[in-house]
Amino acid sequence: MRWSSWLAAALMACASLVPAACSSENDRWEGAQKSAEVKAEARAEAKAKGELPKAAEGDSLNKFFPADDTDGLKRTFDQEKEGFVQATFQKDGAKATLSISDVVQNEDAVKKFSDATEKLGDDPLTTVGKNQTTALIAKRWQIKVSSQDMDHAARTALLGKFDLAGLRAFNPSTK
Amino acid sequence: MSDSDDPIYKLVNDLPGTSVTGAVLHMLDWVAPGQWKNITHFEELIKDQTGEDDQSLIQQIGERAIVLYTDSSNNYQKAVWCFQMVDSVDKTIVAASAVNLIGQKFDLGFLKALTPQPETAQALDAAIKLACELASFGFVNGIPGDGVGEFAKALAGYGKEDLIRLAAFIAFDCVLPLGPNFIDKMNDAVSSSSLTDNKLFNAASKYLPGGGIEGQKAIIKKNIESAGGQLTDFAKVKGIEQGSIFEKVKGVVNFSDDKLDVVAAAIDMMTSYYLHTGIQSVARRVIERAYSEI
Repeated sequence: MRWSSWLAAALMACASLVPAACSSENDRWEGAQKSAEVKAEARAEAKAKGELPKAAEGDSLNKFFPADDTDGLKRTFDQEKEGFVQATFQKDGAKATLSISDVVQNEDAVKKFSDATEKLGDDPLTTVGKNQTTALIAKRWQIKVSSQDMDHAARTALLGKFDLAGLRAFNPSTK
Repeated sequence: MSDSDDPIYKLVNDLPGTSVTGAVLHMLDWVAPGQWKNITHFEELIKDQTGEDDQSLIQQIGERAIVLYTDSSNNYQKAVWCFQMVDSVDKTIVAASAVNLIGQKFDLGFLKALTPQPETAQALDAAIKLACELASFGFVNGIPGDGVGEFAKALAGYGKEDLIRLAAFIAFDCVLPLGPNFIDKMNDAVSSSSLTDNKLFNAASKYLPGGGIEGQKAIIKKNIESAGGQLTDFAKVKGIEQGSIFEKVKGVVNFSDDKLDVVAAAIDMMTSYYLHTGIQSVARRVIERAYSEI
């Protein structure tokens, strides 16, 4: 290839690459934002009409978490929202985030369990990405362990420390 | 000031990579080594928080985070507004282009006519700022009640953006202008001042727990009493003293004045460390929840 045509090719490659690389980082998320706004509006309307399924109160879920000092792990509750509670468990610099979410308010989360090949008791258990193990208890409670410091086996063992019998029996009204 | 309606990804993506704020926060690395990375891309924050690198999973987490932040009933937006308000009140807006980066240092020599507020007003501002941190903590974590006790407990576990913001607050809003007895001064200022004469309080009161001015005053005081010991200990343990802070600041910023309160006021005006790290904190917590929920 002659120098001038190499240069032309290089320039063209840059011209086609640069806009993609430099275009706003925001473009990728704009569609999601628009659909989130529509969803939020629909939720608010349904809520006003009393048609939105009601998720469990956050503080009603705290008692199902593994106790403080389970396997020497120190427990700190971080977020407590409608239908969602999260706590951090730490020991010697290793960290895991444990959560319970009421899938009443996030049905998309349920889909992945239909492909689950493992079980926690009778409930489906699966992984998400590299760092999560999760189970769907009584078709309503997604319990999850997220940790970059623990492997799947350790995360599964920790899921077993939730009060699973309590969660299976817990079914507050969604009205 | 108007509350920003910007979506969460835009708030993060719009954060400056290089700025006086970033330089001053990086300077505090010695207080909290390795705790803070100046992450100014939403995708990078997702990767940093979750350790995941699969693009379709990152997209899924980001989309759920956007849904959670956009739903105002989750209160994450209020936490961001609270941080925005703190950094926007009483600030001279100087165009970024007016700040000269000379070599590795930012030049603030042009801020010659700066007259800092009297000490009592600065102490009162610090007390209200601490109450705003409490309010944001409550909005993000969903703690019922005034949350004073939980907040004080949570301070001990602060990391990353939260920790560097706390370090900057102690350094620039407490120790530098008020000296080592900053807690006593904050307490006295709240007792002896009329809160409604304070601009920051007037802007912040709609976010503060307590219900009514007297109730809020009581919460501001309770918060100082409850968290004060930890803030003082933090300053002692980390060696945050007027001299050490001043020397470090001089390493990254040129000032025309050597008076400590002038330097503190200049940092207050020229940086948005509260909002900058506040946005990073709120976004991280929303991402953390999104990752747990998907």
